[in-house]
Amino acid sequence: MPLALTEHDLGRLMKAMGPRLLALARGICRDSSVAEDVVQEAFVKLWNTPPDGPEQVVPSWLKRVVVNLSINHLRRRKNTESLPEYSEDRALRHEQRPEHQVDLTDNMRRLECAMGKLPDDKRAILVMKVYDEMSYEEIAAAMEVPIGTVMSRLNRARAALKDLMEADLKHAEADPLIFPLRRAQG
Amino acid sequence: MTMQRYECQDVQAVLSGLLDGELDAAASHLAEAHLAQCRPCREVLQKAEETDDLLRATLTRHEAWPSDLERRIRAEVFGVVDGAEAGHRRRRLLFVAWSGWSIAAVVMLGFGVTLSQGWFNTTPMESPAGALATGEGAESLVVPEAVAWVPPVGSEELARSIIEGGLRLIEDEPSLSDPGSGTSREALAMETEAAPVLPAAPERRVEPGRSSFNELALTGVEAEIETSRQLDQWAASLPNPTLGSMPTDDPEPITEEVATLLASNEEVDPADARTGEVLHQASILLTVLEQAGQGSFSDVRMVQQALSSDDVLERLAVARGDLDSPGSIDLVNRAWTVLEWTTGSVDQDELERVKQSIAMQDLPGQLERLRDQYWN
Repeated sequence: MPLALTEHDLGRLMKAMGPRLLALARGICRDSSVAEDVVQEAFVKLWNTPPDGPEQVVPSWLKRVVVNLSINHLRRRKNTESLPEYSEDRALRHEQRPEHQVDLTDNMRRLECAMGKLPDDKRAILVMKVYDEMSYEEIAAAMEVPIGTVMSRLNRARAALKDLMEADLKHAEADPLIFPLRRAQG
Repeated sequence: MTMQRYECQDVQAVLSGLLDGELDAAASHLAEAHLAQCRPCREVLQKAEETDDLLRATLTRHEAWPSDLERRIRAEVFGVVDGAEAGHRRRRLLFVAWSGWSIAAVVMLGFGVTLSQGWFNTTPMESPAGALATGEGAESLVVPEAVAWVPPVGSEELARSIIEGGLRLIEDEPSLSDPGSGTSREALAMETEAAPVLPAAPERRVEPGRSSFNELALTGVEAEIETSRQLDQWAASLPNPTLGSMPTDDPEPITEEVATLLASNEEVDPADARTGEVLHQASILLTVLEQAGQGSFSDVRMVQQALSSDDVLERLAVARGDLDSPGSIDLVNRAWTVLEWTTGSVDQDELERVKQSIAMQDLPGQLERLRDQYWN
């Protein structure tokens, strides 16, 4: 039987889960406005077609909906546009660095760049596991893959992230123009 | 045979399971035993843990809740922002309802006066108002020039159109009630004529004669506030001869066409028949979407309703799994993507692009041709 939610319940769930869901969607989609749309759609879906069972199922249900919507967004976007926060082009990449990243440590900045460069599926699975601490079973259900596949995919995603970060470090050392602030500080 | 010890490559293979605590006891024991004596592997594990921590910290930085997001969600769910906003809106609407009532009264008074003048200035007409209302004896009716402006609608309908026009203006122009922004009744009436026509919503019909103009206006307001829910109900009530309602796991066919096909030809594989069936449904829904009227989302809602009631997306995914041609799989993927898109928030501009995309790719036609392979 579908869960009966009141307006008060919805408000409470938004306050309790909204920020984490938003970060989850943002981590997968790499786009704040898309992430907001995804979270909005998830809560509207919760209201219109709530899951069966007690309210305890809502958090995992919402996470799953957000992950699915985010992945669907990535699938729709595939081949139509590039990720907004990273560019191969050196000059463009420098210009695209958001102002708020200026204060990040190099490692965080490098990680963000590497995450932006990761293929969608690898980024999504890393965010689901590392940030949202979803179990392999939950990830398998969200990505519609066998549980056994999750570990190997996570292995590959972690390896790819590590490679990208190391490559970025080498790239930075070879071309200090990308890091004018560090050069100035040094 | 059970592996007795792990080498470096074995640990690398289960590194994520180890990090995430998802290894079974035996594998975990073997990995720990190797790590205890292999420094390079410990460093790899430690590096991976640090990267995870950094990633967690980086993503946590993005935890925020924009102040307007909850408002937007509430607006989409309930049609209003919050209680205060709803009260404010209701007061503004009441103001316009009274304005509309006043305008209607003036119009009716003027009409009555003019009609009276026409009554006394013309001859053969026992009851011009009654004749106008019923249309009886219209050919013999001599309409005085002074009343020739009477619109082809009843006065109450005219008043209602003014009131509803005002409501539309409020929806479209939040600053209308601001001082000095043209809130005079004349300005309101003039702007009303230019107000955009909203898509017809059958639920908003209110039987004339049962409500005062104020009640009529407020009923309209409440209907407007609950438009989303009402349109859902309306879409559910639409006749849809080809699409029925049935759980996915029901082995019976959904459409009459498939039932007939299976009954008339025992050689037809039921699985093939159902694959063809969902392809056919997807084709119909894409056609509806492609032909959705501009500015009206009733067609989109109908598609959403059908998708939901018939589990079309899930069945399409199942059908896709049975296809073997890459071209067919790609076609179903594209159809699935478009249909899935309609289950979310539909933006007018995006809808126009999607409609063009459906037409350019001829998705409905391609699906029908693919369907033929399963039904013939």
